[in-house]
Amino acid sequence: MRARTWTLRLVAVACAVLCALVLLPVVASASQEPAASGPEPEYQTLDELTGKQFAYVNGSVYNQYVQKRVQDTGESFYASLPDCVAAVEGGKADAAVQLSYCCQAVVNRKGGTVALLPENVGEVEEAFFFPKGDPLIPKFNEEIQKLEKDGTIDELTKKWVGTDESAKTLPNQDWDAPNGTLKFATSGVLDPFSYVGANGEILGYDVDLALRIAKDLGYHLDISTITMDAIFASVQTGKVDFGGTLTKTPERAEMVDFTEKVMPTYISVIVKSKDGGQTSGAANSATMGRSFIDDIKQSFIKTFVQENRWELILSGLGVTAIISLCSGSLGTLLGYVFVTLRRKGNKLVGKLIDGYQAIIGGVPIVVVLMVLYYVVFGSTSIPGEIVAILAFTLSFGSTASTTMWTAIKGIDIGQEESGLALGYEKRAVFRKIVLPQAAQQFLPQLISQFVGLVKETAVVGYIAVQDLTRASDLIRARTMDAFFPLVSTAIIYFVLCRLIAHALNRLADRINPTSKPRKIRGVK
Amino acid sequence: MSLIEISHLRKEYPNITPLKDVNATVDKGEVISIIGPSGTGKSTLLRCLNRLETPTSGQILVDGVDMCDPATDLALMRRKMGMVFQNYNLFGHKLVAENVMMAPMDLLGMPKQEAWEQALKLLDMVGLKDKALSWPHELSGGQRQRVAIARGLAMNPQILLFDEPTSALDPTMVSEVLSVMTGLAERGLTMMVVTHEMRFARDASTRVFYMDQGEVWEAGPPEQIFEHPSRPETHDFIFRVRCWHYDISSTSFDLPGMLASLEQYCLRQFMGGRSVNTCEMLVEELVANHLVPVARTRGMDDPQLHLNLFAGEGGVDIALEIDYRSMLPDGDPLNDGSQDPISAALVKGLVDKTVTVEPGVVRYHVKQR
Repeated sequence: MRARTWTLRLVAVACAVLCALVLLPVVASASQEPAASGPEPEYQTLDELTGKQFAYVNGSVYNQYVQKRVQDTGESFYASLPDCVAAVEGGKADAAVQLSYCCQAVVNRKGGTVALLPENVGEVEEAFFFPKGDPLIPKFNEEIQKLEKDGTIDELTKKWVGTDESAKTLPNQDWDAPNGTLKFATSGVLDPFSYVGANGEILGYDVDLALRIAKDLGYHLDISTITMDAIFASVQTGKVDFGGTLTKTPERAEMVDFTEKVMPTYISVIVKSKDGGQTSGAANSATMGRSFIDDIKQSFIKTFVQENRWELILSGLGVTAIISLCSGSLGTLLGYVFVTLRRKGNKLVGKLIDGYQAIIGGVPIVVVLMVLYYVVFGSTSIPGEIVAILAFTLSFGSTASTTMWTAIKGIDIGQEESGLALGYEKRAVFRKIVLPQAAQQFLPQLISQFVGLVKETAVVGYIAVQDLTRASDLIRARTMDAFFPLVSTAIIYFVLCRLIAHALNRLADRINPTSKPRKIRGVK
Repeated sequence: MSLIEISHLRKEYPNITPLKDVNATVDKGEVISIIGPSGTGKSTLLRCLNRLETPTSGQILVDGVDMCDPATDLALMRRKMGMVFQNYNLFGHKLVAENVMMAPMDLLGMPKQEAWEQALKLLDMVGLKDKALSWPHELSGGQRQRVAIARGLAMNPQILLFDEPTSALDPTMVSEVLSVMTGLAERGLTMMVVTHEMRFARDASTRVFYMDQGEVWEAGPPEQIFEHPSRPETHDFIFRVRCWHYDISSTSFDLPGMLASLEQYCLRQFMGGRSVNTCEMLVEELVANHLVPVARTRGMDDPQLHLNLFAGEGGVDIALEIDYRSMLPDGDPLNDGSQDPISAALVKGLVDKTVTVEPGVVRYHVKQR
């Protein structure tokens, strides 16, 4: 009981610390009032950025464009545009680069800390892409030309770039689809092209356009979001039928086939605004306090309440929990199977298991995940969740088996011998004498490894699984708030891990015979 | 028919053959002590009997059943023969009573209540009834070994095998285990005991097997083995067991370890506390305070010193022999007057007479009080 209250106390303290961590960045920017007029950028031309540090999104090719225009730039890559912008705000980078519409959306939302550089980097073409030689490409191209001519593309551009949020809806897929369903993957983090809106619906210009083309061609669309760096892999391996839109480059065109451009656009640069980072005047502590609380409230509403984003978080949490629990228990089972095989003493089997453990232990789990999803099960339609459970089962099975085997090996051979000498069968000796004693040793370790597993599952976004981390990424991409969703996610993970560890430790305690009262039940 | 019949038993390992050709029989009610030098296959023989080891060749019949036949149900046969190990091997996840109750319940289908009552009876017999609800790790070595004996008895075996049951014990705890074993022997339980406790072998067993070089070299009643051994190897062994031996080959030798080993030997010979003190003082004064420091000042890092302590029956006629021949070339340190006068006087007060067996070998006869 004492252990339990301690754990709870620890959780409480840690929560408080984490909350303080959330608040710090907010405090730092607490009294930044949105500028009344448009923010004035710190720089005016690209030349002024010579030798500066640029921030790009992972998988972005815009660094090549920037290099042609600006000399001696430094490059750093971030998971999403909000992270890039946060880097600019925090002084870690001088400029963030992205498509101009996306940049505009960020600057609008940030309200004054950052501004658009008046000069852009250059024109690029955005397009859908298919596996090499896909027969659908000419049909798509025809459709795109048609929609361009009849003004639909212009209309869509206005609709999604505009500020009228209520107009930003997608057509219902109520048309006939004689040709079946196409799987379409999009990044989900490029507002206004592709993002996750209210109730987790995938919205954006790209999605809208793809739906219109699909309608004309007689298809339905099955839309999913995948992290930017994994979209190519999923199209190349046929996991999805097409993806988009992304910027056409010759390198990318070697791996996939692009359609005609769907919208001409520019690469823009976000820099700090002139008074960005400066607090607006000497605010007294009372207003400081109020705006600080307001900020928290606003961030909370933005992250959780608006567009019912808590549903996204909740379903992400569910996915994380299901993947963790399934692969944790299956992995433990797999580990036990390995232990059983090892106990048989066949040297070849032992070597095979050693080899398996060396491979699984030596390859990052995210690579295992992607190989399984895109290569091994590339041509099947097994859902990402199942593949994730499989990958983490394989990984956890390996560590669990090592943990158990080490503990079992550590049990004195004399225990086994005295069991045999009493007349127990070999199997009964293991089950009744060796395993219970080994379990006392390995259970605490196994539990902490399981908690590690819960955190490791945060990479499943690479195979289109929408877990807690991915949900927070999607929300961040939409709210452009780099910190609050991140720290909220950290707290949710922390609480989840503590609860799981607490529950499992209690279970382990119950199983541990030496924690039982000194009593033999059922005797007088 | 004998309970156990062993014929031409051989056990080979890749680089050693602990059992060459063992032939022996054990009858019901016999208490067999197996003695002999280390590494001569005593434990291996015992472990072959209940097939913890698989013999290379030969035959073992237990109660008429061939233990080496692959068709034999080993688990069933092992229930007829309990085993007590050197390291007790109590089950750490079970209470003391559960250790005793477990096997009869699991293997004989004994009801829990009956197993509990039997466990209490057996624990009472080994003097540990009040420890029934303790954990094994809370007990001393001697207590644990007694529980292990009770656990072995719980299966009501036809024979109990003891594999050096007192070797891991503190000298002060040996006797509590031995007295339990003696009690069992008196009740007529068939026992085979691998032991270094010559007193137990001599007083409690009906027959003694002297094992050497992978064979039962000599077998017979204890009087024969201890008083009139017919083979020279047996004689030498019996003599050596009665004598304490210690080699020093470095100036940084383990003094506390040596004194502990000396004390352990003295206690086993049932010497009085004063005699033990005298022996320890002699060794300390002559070796630790004189010979070794001299070797150190001479720059010898590896003086070869051999100590022997002899004791007659009951701890009388004690003599300490020191062999320091390796130090002679640079002068005789015990006869050149280099010894500290107080130390020399102290030694003189402790011994009756000093005999120089040969140059570099001196025997001190300890004064009896």
